[in-house]
Amino acid sequence: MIYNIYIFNKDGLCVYYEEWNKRKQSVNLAEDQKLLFGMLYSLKAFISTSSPKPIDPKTGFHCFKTSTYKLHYYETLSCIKFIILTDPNTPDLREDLKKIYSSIFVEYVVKNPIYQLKSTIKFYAFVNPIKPNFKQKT
Amino acid sequence: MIYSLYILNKAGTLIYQNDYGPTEKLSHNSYIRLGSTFHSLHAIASNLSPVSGSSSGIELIETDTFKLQCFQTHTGIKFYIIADPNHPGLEEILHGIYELYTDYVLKNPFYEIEMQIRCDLFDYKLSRLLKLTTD
Repeated sequence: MIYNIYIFNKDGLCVYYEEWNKRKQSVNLAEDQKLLFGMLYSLKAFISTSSPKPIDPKTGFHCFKTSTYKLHYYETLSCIKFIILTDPNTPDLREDLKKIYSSIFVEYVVKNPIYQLKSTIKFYAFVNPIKPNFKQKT
Repeated sequence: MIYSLYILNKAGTLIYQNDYGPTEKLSHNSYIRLGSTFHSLHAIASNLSPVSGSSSGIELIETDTFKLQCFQTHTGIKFYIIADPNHPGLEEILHGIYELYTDYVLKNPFYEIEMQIRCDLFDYKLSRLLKLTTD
């Protein structure tokens, strides 16, 4: 079961957000997004200092799990972060996030001439293919 | 292979830390900082839950080079170990460590609650437990 998806650009702005089965209404969505971004920032710093061996901070972190959800994380070399929250028993979804990046994000957002960098994504061509990708998994 | 063990009290202060593997030694202050960083990440993670009702904080972190498993007791003490990514049975080890904590720390008449753990018997039993699981 997939709850929601976030895409952050390299400045920490949430350029895309969608929720499917979220069961809690958040009081302030923008505030939650900032909290998540800030948390991942410190989590990555935490991971690179506690790692027993040298670790690449961009690709080293895979996911974390709590009793109610699991957070999957994929970061591109250009610092775009793809985050998905699912139920705790879902297997690793990083390959799917990679696919969203390479076959949907690059094709329909990066190659789109009217897309302004650092703005939120509202194109149907981008939003529509994401949904069936995850519908089959929910 | 288990690399290190951290114990945090309910306020997030580091009360016990030990390295077992061939890890790089950090300064004492760095260990304390790492412990309190984890305490706050744990709290934020339970806040970000998409499901209504209370969520636990971080229970497991997976990365390329290690796996972190955390166990929080009902009294708010957090035990977490950093181990090899494919180390099995970390949860059982944490329960075993909790048992040792109740037997050799809490029952020690000289131990002040919420303070640094300096109990020789606990150290000894702990190293025996961890040796047993790595062999």
